[in-house]
Amino acid sequence: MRIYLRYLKSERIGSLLFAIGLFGFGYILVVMYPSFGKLQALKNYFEMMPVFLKALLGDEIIDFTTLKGFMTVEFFNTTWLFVTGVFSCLLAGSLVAEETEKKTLEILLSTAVTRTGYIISKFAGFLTLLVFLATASFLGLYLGMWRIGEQIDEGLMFYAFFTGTICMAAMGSIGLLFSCLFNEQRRAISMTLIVFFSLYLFNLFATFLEQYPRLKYFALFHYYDASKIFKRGAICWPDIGILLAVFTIVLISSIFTFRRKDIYI
Amino acid sequence: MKILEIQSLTKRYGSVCGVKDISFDIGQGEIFGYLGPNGSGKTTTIRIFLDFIRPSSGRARLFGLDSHVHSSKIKSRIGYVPGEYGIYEEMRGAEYLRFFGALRGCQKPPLRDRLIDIFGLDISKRIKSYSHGTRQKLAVVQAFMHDPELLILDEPTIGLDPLMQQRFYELLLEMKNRGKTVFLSSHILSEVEKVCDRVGILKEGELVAIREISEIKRLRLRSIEITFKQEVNESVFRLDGVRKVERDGNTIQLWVDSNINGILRTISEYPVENMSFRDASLEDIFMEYYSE
Ligand SMILES: Nc1ncnc2c1ncn2[C@@H]1O[C@H](COP(=O)(O)OP(=O)(O)O)[C@@H](O)[C@H]1O
Ligand SMILES: [Mg+2]
Repeated sequence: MRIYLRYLKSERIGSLLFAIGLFGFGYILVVMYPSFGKLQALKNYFEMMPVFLKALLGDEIIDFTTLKGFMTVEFFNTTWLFVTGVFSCLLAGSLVAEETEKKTLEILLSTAVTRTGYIISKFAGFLTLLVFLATASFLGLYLGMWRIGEQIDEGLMFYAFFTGTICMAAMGSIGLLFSCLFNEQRRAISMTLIVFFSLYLFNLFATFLEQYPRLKYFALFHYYDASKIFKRGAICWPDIGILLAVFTIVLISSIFTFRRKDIYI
Repeated sequence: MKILEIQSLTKRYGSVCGVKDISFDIGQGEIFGYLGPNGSGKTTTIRIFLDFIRPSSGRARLFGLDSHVHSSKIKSRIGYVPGEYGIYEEMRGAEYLRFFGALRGCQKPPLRDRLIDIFGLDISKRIKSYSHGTRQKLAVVQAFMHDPELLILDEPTIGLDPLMQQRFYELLLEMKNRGKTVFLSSHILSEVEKVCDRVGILKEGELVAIREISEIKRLRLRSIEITFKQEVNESVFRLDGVRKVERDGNTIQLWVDSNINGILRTISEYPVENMSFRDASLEDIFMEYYSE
């Protein structure tokens, strides 16, 4: 618990900046929507887009000129995924490796704190910050919508953030695994970033390559798609199930790795 | 009761051997010195006690519990000063001690205030601004403040000035008088002699001897350096009680044990310019245990 709180405290400034960024960006985006949305030209533009770019916008393409569509294109499937993705890589990658590199781990683990307890406390701190980011983004969008007097169903928005947060938690667990494997913070973070961008590109690529329709099922971010949620008007439990499975498996492997690790500094 | 027992402990790092087949045990209320030069395997042994690394073979038991299986239970009863460590830079001293106090399950560590007093530690400042010595003091306070049964100290006096070192030795003796056990690793012979009851001597990962400190004091070599006014053949000093002779021009260095009279007589046969005694260094001690 102490470790959890200290972690939150030590990461407070960075997380706050990310949260303010997402909040502000979400708000401004929604407020600017009316000036975009009315342009029919925009719709035509989107329809002329090559398949590759369409892939970026998700599987089940919805009308971009609606607020939902606009939000998906400009926020959920792009900015939000990207920003929280990078956030997750940076934080999760440093969870353990930072303390190994700065050599604070030895004194900490000379107390009765177990290795499992340690890693879970820190990861819980990371998840809390992730939820904090999602909440800030949600509020930003919501406030923007309130300002322009247009609504998206809050339930669906919540589902979109819920799925997104679980997706990022899975990304974070990958970061944690690298953080346990490497003793240098920078190495752990760069490996996580590489995995993140590869997964992202792979997702684009897989959706684009229509002749191999199965390929996309191997892309982690395929299971987080706001357009799908908005289109269906419901949460996609199988997607969440797969994300949670990835999350659990990688988290357990991290704990296992860390417990077996030789800690020499 | 045995506080610490080690049975044929070996740790290999790939092809390098950290420690090789080490066995010893330590009773309650004892200050045990673990003496060896850099790279001899002191830290390796200590890391096994704390379950940071796992032995390649053999095992360590603390308080009768296996160091790996019951590591959390063991750690709740120890204090630890690592040889090399980082401290949370962004914290203030007081915050740091509060954090570790809470982790150790005592909001008000019994020895905290006294230790801060002894070492004259300013805990209101940020750790970032602490000097090397101040950090070391903080690490010491952190390890002692909850009054643990066993103290594991990896070269703890490095970075402390002589006055603080002295206070630290007094603290160790006080802990001993209160029935606590201390495991003190060091590469400084005089330090170990000052406070320890027994000493294990480590060389290249092997335990070459375990001795009562009184025995070490009695047996230990002294070195005499004599500069003569003329060149003297070193062979005249191959006497009883002389372990080693080295000559460099007019200067002769002798390593001697107890019997010094014969040597003095021989020296007086030649014109002496200068002569000095020096206590044996760690290397000299090794020479002694190697020649056995
Ligand atoms: N992490 C490591 N990887 C490889 N070799 C190591 C590692 N840690 C220590 N060693 C080697 O093990 C030996 C003992 O080191 P150590 O226990 O740190 O000695 P000491 O604490 O007495 O200075 C040294 O030869 C050192 O090079
Ligand atoms: Mg060492």
